[in-house]
Amino acid sequence: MSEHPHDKLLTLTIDGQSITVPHGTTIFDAARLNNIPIPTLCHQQNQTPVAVCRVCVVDCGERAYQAACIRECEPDMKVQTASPGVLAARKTIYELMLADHPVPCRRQQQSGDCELEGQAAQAGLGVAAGLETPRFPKRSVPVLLPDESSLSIAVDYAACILCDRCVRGCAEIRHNFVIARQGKGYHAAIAFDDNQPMGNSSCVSCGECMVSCPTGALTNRRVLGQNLQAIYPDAEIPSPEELLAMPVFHGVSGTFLELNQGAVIKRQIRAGEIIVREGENGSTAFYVLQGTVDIYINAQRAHVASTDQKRGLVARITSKLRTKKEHARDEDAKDRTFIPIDASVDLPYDNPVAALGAGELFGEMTCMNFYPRSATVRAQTDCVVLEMLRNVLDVLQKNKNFRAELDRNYRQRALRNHLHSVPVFAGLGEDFVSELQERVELIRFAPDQVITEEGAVADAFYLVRIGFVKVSQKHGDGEELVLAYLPRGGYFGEMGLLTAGTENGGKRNATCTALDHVEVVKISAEDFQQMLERHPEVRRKLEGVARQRAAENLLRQQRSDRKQPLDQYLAQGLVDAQSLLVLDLEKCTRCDQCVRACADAHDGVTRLLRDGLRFDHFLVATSCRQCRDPRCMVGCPVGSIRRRNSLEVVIEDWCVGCGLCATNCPYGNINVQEIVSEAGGHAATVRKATSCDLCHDLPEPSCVYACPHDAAHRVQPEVFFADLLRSTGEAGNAN
Amino acid sequence: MRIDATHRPWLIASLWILGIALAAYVPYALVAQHVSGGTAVGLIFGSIGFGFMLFAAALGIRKRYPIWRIGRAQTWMRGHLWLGSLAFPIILLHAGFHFGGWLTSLLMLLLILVTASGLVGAYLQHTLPTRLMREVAFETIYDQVDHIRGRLVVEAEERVQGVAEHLAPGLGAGATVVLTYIGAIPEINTELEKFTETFEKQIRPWLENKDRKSILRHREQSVQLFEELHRMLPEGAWKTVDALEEICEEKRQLDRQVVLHRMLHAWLLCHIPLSVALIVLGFVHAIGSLRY
Repeated sequence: MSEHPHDKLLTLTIDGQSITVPHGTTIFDAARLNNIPIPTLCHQQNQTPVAVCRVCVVDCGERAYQAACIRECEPDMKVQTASPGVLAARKTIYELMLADHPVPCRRQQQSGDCELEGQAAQAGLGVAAGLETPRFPKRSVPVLLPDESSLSIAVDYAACILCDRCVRGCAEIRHNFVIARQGKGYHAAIAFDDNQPMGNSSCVSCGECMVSCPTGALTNRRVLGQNLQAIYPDAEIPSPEELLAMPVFHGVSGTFLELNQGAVIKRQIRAGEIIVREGENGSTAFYVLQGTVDIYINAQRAHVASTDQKRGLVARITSKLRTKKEHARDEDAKDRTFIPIDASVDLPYDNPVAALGAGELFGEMTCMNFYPRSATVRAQTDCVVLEMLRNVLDVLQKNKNFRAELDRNYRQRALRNHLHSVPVFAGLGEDFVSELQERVELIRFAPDQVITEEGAVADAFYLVRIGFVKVSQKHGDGEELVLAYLPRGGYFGEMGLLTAGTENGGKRNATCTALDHVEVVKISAEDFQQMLERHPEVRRKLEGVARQRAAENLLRQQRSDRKQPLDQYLAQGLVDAQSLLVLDLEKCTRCDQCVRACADAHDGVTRLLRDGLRFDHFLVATSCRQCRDPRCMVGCPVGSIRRRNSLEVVIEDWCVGCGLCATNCPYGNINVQEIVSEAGGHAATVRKATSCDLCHDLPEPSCVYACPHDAAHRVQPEVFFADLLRSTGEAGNAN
Repeated sequence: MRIDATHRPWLIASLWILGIALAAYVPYALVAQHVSGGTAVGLIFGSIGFGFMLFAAALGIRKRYPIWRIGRAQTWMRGHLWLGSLAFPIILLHAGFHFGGWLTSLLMLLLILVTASGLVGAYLQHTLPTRLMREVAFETIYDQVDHIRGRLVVEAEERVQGVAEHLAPGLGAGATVVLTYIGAIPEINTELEKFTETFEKQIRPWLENKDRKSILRHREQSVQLFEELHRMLPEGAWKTVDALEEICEEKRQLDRQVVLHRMLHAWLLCHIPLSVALIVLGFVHAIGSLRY
């Protein structure tokens, strides 16, 4: 460290050029000020130099080469930045880094500006073209798998060169302190919080790390790579400045908004215009800026009763002549007074209409979890709304200003309805709910994040506001037994609180995990106990539910030898499927007629493989499952893979055959085929992605139609496997 | 096709047809002086029986064009099973329970063989899929079996190589330590040699299908062999031995799949040619009888 004051000057020579700079100036800065380029990877002007990459080494005439970014200038120092020795050392460093680096990395593929690859190419390494045989072997120690848990930033550990620019960007520039280093030697890597997946960490997706990263280790994730304006040509794409001027975007990273222009649009909606329809599939959420919208359920409510399939021919014929009776609602459904929807309000059962005004958000679940729209929304007055994709919504939900406004709206408008919509809380007094409004917490959880752990002290009661929660218990052999799935309106945590103060009481007896993007209302143990004291009828009902759940859980444990189906159902991702091609292995004679029919129906190229995982006595064939969360759609550069308003995923003719959808499909159900196209008057071989289209122009898929053994079925899994799953997945839960 | 409760309508319809046929045949047989296929009633029975046979045979054509929307293939299959079965008693009624000349005797013999092979096939297809499902957890596409067996050999070789490197890291690729397990415990060399010998002489030939009498064909003996390997080798190698055992189990299951698959389809080698012969000769018989 220089002992001279910074206002004193010194003179040194860099590459033969005499330069005068203040004491304390680094060689890198001195060179930069005089337009002498010194390459570097780990150093940025706005960050503290750490000299970890050693790319900026220069020859100062000393025993070893010095890192220019951190070495301060000294009087009469003679520096060479590009001597043969320095260039050779630098080239060796590039080679070593490239030995561990995927070429081209994601950044190079996206925007061609990976600094490592660019500088290496300038240094004469033909990495981009793969011309040079690497001197150093690839690492033998496995690298961490890519982390795609964040909706806005993709993490590729293989491309990370441990330059720490992201760490300093997160800490020094943004003061978020989320990113740090973990591990040693070959196992060193960046980590988020206490080594959480990025999506589960406290990262606010400000984008600073992504902007700081010199390689493809941290890159922007554009949702579908699409521009919403392409769907709504009349909509306006607000500039980042305009968005930042809105209170709800205050604090969001301008860099992020810059990188994701088109992922949020401003739409002017005229009074009476339908914005979304119930049952439709979608991928966006809406934030009302001005005006009022009506949110309602259009479908007529009617109870569907089962008919006796065993009735005889005469009864079936005469039934056509009889008048149909109105089927009454199920007795157990009568106490449901509200219908939960994907908005801050629940709809009254008898008159399912509500209004949302400025500052309200709707469509969160559709946007985050790709669930179908739960209600129809129509503009009551002329409105201005922001429509956004999930990466923008995710960033907004991590923004404290936006969260604060959402929380306030929820507390004021929805919490009362939400609590009253749960039958056991229907009797809560208004005064108590008003008190509770200010004390509850709204907490978000990412998919697979644990909300409460079995055995932990019960300190709160939870009410599910968005998403699905899995309730499970561990058994002696370490196996997990799933007790229940709780949707919106479900609650958990009461059993631990009700047993507080008793022997072995006060502990969680199950683990609750977020299945998808979940938001819960957390009521503290004190408030919960107060509620029980003031409302004995609520205590009585809760104790009844707890007793019932305990008995059900015991029954499930006794049936633990039959728990396999539900576990497998989840493990195989069948819960996410809307349509499955299953082959009954007790009927299938392996004649391959299904495969032949598929090939015949699709220009000789089959879209199904009679292979895959087994579920009970069924083979789940390798054929598109029409997932609720169609991850295949994410990233299609030309938007050629999409979902119809029904359910089938279709790949349009303009597919460019990049294969990204095939890579994204977790079940290997999309293939890229080479086909001969005669479009344009000449035959050419083109690559196209193919997947099962359910033979959508035919009344029944060809594979099913052609199966001579009644073994192939296209089914809705939750209906087809209902009986099988009922033994372990009945409603009810524990904890 | 599995014969289950869904076949009840076909069973009832078949019984009705048979009942009506018998109801027509009994008075005819009692009244007529000469019961034969050449009488009006006999010709009707013959036409119906031959019609059933033609319908049953049409399944083969239907299966060649699986996407033709001419009725679901399973409906055709049910028709094939039930009407094909009915053809036999109807033809018996047509013939008045006589075998006649050499052609009709041959036809009757063919019909018996076709019906019998069909019943055997129906039984096999009713039972074997369940066995295949239960006994072959590693089931794969039949045409891929040879390829996968080849991959198993490669995987086993890699595993065995891995054991040598794991126990003697100074010898393997990428070795970074000087003091090796081998150096510390010299006698492991002998165990490694035995292990390699077991692999080369017993496991590999069986995996490559060169030793068809190997003890590895039997699960119990295979378990014994691998238990011996466990006892012989240090704990560091157990994971690999387990993996090898699983490879052998997969190979065993694939072999079982091949056997069951062949059983499931081999009867067709008898059923189809006999059926073709029956139809062709049936035409010859029909034309010859009607003309002469």
